[in-house]
Amino acid sequence: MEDSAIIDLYWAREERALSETDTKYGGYCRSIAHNILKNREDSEECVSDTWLHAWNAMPPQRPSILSSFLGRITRNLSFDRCRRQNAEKRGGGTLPLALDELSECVAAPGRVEQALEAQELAEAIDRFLRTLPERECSIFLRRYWYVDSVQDIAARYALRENTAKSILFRTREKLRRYLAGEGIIV
Amino acid sequence: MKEQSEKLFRAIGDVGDDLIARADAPVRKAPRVWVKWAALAACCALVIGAAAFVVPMFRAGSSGLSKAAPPAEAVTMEAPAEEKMTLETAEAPAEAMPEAAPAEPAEQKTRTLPGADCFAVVPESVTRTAADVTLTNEDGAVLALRSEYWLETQADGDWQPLTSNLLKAQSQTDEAAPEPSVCTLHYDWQPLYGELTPGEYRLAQPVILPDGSEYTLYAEFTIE
Repeated sequence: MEDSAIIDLYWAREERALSETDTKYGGYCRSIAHNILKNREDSEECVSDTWLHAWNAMPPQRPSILSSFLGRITRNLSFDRCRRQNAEKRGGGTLPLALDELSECVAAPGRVEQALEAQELAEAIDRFLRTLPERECSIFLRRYWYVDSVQDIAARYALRENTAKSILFRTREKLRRYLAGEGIIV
Repeated sequence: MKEQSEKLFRAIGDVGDDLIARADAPVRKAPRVWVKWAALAACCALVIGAAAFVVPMFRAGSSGLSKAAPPAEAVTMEAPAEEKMTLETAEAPAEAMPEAAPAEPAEQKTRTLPGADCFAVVPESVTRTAADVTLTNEDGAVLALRSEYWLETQADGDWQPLTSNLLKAQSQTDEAAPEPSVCTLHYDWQPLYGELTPGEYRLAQPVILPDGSEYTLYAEFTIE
């Protein structure tokens, strides 16, 4: 079914919207959840919660790209669940490593640059990513949006693992310089 | 630091939908470097091969054109060569060829002129209205006869064509002389010229050489 037809089902408040969404994007959302949580049950719960959030969001929203809209909900829900689990010492997996890597992009404490709201920071990162070549941008997002492992990224782009690591390292360094150049601290 | 990393992680989550969708699109795998070089090498080989095949064809074609419509200089250079090939100089055909060769060295490669003695009148057959002529074809160089021929007579040291009321179509027309290689052709010129008066004559017979170019053979005879 076309995305626009699925969105119409949400707007018409037809419950078939949920089954159609699960048929088309269930696997996509489960892989995002599993990358973050590394737990099948937790991932399944997050995906179910995603459909509920989508049901509540449409209407009034009418997303232009349904997959990204749903994936973002799953990612945020999974991230929140992972944080709770880490607080309870139950966590693990790829996310902590990804967060450690991202800490390289954070300005050192004590700097006086402007601290931005989350949305402004997202816009700055969006601008930065659009300056990158398509492949570098996608590799960065596979790692820090989809939370793919470095091995999976290397396989996806037919790279050696060290090459993938090297590309990610250089991109993080570029992001750090970009944010510093914009006078942004996180 | 951990909070900042999480803030950054959340911010990355809010980048444009188009970027997120693009990162999930199937990857177009770049061809391996050796594949690109191999493709380039194959293209080069194809071009070189085609050039090696086409350029000689162009050369052959252009030389054929120059034969079909030779420039004025070529005609004037060739005329004396033809005269050398007449029976008049039959005693020294070997010298005649080297003289023509420097004038058109390229043409000599593709055009082998028949020897002067390959076209000769049979003396005992000569009458005032007819004669037999032997045509000798060299191996692998069969000549094709044109349908027309004419007679010339010697006047003031030059060969002048006899005037004729008709253009003669000869019976052995445009056919290659049979191999092996000596054949006798009978020429009856009475319809063209009537009875010849005593004097020196020569019979001019255009032929087509094996390479497709045209040439004129001459055979001299005397009417007593």
